[in-house]
Amino acid sequence: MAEMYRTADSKGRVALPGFANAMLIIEKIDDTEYRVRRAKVIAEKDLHFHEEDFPVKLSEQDAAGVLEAMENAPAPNQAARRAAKRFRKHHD
Amino acid sequence: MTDWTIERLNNHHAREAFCCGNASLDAFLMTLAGQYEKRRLGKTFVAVRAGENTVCGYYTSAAGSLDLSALPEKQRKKLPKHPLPTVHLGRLAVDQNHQGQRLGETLLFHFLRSALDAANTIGVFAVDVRATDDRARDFYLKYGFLPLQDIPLHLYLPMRTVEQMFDAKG
Repeated sequence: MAEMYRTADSKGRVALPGFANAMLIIEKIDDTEYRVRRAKVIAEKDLHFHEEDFPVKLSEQDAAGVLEAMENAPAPNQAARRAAKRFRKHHD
Repeated sequence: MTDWTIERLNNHHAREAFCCGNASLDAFLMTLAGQYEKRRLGKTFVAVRAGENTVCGYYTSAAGSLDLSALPEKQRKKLPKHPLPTVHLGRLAVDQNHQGQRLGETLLFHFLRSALDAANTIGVFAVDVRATDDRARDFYLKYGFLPLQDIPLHLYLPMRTVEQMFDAKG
């Protein structure tokens, strides 16, 4: 990580190259450290939520697959069993 | 492995600096998660380090359903006429500073455990999720989620499979 040295002015302001006029997220880590990140701004009305596409209407092929899984649910795979075990160890 | 505490979202959680790399998921946590809570449209759980209040990851769950009405009449006979109820994983995101620490897995299994608890008191056939992209889809596939063929980013897992995962003998 490249370090830069700047001297803050009397109001605590510093200039950051590449951040001019940008919307920033400034996270206070502690009394001597801040983390500064550029934020991407999206208008609220432009956000798409997948819930807008509900209810989920399945094709005949997918509906048949779900029906099969309902009658013959697959056994959990090894990754899932191991993850569940880790979860139980820390959270039960 | 970091010991995370997973809590219901409340006003004391610091979420302004949350950045997972997906602007939509960041915006949801900052601006809409609270409204979903108030209106009971979705429940948001956040991961924090013990004794801290900065949100390191979160997920939102809600009721969902899968509509199987496209099945031929003959196959639909054994099914109810209404869509099959699910517990829907609305969003799951991990702050960029905490990725690679199995926090996504921890949040996913907290969700699965909560869904299993819910399924003990209400009828739930499966859990389902809409992955945001192929990378997220691979994450769910790793744990055995079944993808829909015609909606590739939508996956589900029968509750009976979830139950077996948490079987003490597993």
